[in-house]
Amino acid sequence: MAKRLGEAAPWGEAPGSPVNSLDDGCLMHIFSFLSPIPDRYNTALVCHRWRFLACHPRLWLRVERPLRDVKEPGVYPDLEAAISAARPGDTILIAAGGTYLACNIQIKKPLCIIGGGELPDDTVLTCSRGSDNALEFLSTCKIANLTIKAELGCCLLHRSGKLTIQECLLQCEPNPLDYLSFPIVSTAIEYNPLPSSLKEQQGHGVTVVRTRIEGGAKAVRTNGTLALQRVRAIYARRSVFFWFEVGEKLEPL
Amino acid sequence: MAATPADASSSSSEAVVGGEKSNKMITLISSDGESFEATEEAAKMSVTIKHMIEDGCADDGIPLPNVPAKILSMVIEYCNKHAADADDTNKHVADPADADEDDDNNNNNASAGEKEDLKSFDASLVAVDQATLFDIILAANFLSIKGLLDLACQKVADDIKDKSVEEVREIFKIENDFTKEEEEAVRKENAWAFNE
Repeated sequence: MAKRLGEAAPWGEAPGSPVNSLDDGCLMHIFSFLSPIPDRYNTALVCHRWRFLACHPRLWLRVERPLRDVKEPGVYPDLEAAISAARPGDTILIAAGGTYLACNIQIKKPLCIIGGGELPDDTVLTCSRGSDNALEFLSTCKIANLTIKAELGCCLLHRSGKLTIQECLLQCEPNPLDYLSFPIVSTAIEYNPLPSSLKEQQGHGVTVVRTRIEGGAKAVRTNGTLALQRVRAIYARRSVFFWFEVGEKLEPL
Repeated sequence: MAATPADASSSSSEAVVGGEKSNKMITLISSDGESFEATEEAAKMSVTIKHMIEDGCADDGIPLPNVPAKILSMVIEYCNKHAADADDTNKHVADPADADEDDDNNNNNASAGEKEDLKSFDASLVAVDQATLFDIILAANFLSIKGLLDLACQKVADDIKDKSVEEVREIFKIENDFTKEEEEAVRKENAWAFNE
């Protein structure tokens, strides 16, 4: 702790450590050679400076409409291209403004997809009429700060893994004709017969945090063995914010 | 063979077969005042130096205040080796009608061996202690030599790969400046990725 007060390196590296001599750009370049899971996440735990650089947006993939024909490394014109180029554990930042098409995009590796605007309303993924859902998750993923709009079908289809939906806006058809429109559909099946005694949720599930859900027949449809639970809602002036989990049904003891 | 464009200040007496590349030697001066000579071709592997040559600032030698002699000699070794490799490939393509058939055959056999040679050269160049490796990275970054920068950074990344957090701290002699709560917070932040 005394190190913080002195004039020694502002980060916690010992003055003798040679890594101290590398500038931020070089260290980030080194981290870009590491696969995010598990190596880059491990480096985030080493010390404050490494955490700052390992989680830095410069290492994220970006989805942006290209201004000119110049191809920038790490920048992709649409979400599908970014997803196929990403490594497991990568973070994809979708630029705010405009809408991006997202139709039946399958995600089979752990990814974090973030909207680049200040509010979720700034970054919109639209699923057009012909498609079943915008995003289909077959792996543990996280999405944050995005608006997902499904013109007819579902916003998110959760098949397996742990899905975290944080501060998003899910919009479905407001007056659905058939019971086809659900913001979230989960078909995950938990095969573990033993009731989970740990507080932490294991295995498959969906965790929703501070998300607005509009339209659709009902918020969540589960075709598998998971159940909706721990629902909380806050009624703000213009919309309702939800928190809930879809997971293994917790048996009352 | 057409005469190469006159380069009056060329100090080398070697003739270049069939190429328009001048054999001008460039002087590079390390931070501790030592002078090193490299062919213009090798020196141009550094984008920084390439721009200086093109802007005409290279005539009296190029001072490199950020690069000590020990590192500069390794960098020049790298550039010489890789410039020669690039040159061989170019020669191969540029002279298909060359009457020297034996030479061509040799080149064909040699290029596979040369690639191996280059790889082992690269590997031995970065098999140095940490401090030297970091100096190479800084020099390659300053001089904008992409190949060398990627090579050295990949080596450091390989040292980090598949190691636990503690092991990484040990290898790089970094002190843990996280409090228990901060460490928990970082783990939680990235917990979404781990299905535990």
